Amino acid sequence: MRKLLLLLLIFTSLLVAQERKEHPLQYEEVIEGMDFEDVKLLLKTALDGRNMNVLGVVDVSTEKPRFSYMLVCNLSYAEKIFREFPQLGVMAPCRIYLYEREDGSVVVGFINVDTLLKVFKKDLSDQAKELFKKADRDVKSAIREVKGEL
Amino acid sequence: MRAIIFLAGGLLVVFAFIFYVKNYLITPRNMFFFTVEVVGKKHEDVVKELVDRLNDKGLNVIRTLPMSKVIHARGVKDFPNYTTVLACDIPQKKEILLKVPFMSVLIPCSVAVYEKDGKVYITSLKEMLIVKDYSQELGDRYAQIIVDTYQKLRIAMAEVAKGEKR
Repeated sequence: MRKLLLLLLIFTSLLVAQERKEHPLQYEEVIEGMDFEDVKLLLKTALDGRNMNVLGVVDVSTEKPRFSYMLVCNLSYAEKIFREFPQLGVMAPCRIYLYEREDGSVVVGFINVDTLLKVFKKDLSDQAKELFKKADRDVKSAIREVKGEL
Repeated sequence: MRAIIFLAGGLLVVFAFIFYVKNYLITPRNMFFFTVEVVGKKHEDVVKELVDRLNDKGLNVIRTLPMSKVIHARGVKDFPNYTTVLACDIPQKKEILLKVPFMSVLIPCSVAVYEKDGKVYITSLKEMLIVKDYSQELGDRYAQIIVDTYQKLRIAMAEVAKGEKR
């Protein structure tokens, strides 16, 4: 019954979020005052520095508005998570996207780990949850480094 | 007496149905993942066949990531075979991603081929909840393109699992 209630809660929150034009699965940050290419390069360096290996950078649009995404994976985390929940491999490598807005600012986004952990609360061990949180902190601190906040 | 038996039987059927729906149908795993089991094939053969089928269906494969090989090379030898196939490099990807950047979780699609308990499985994401959440921003046309792409992907996976000839 709890599982049913949890799913009803998720479904309802998706509906409510849609009304408010929010997306619970999405996390985005805006970086202002920097060129798109600079953000891309700095973010890649910052992620590599945190052992979040950037397996590739795909440039989807090289003209304004520019859009790229990075394929990022920490194999130490992946190894432990895939052992207990191999289906989650379809979210790997993690995609971190960057796009340019009309005002020149750059948006960096990726999947909202808090929502993911709520959805799969029952399916993940405490160790796996902690690894997800670590990965989330790593990516967010890389973004803060790009912003010059670290 | 018959009425009581009928009532008890009815209640039992209803509870069994609720139990089945709750535990086997409506679970986060079922709502977010589509998984098929492949019988009688080796992991590497499944990966090869899947790549060929995806390319045949226009769901072009961008990269194949041999996750387990890299993990083995790092000294963890007991990690089961695991490969991630990045595909669904569809012609409309640029339009879709520029319109809704978060769709980069769906396009390109990741397909996991892995071993668990001696069996080979193929898993992909189910797109419906995510597409529904972004339906306003995507519009009918692009939402339908993503749904169709994932439908083709599931067909390719099922064909590999059933061993249908190409």
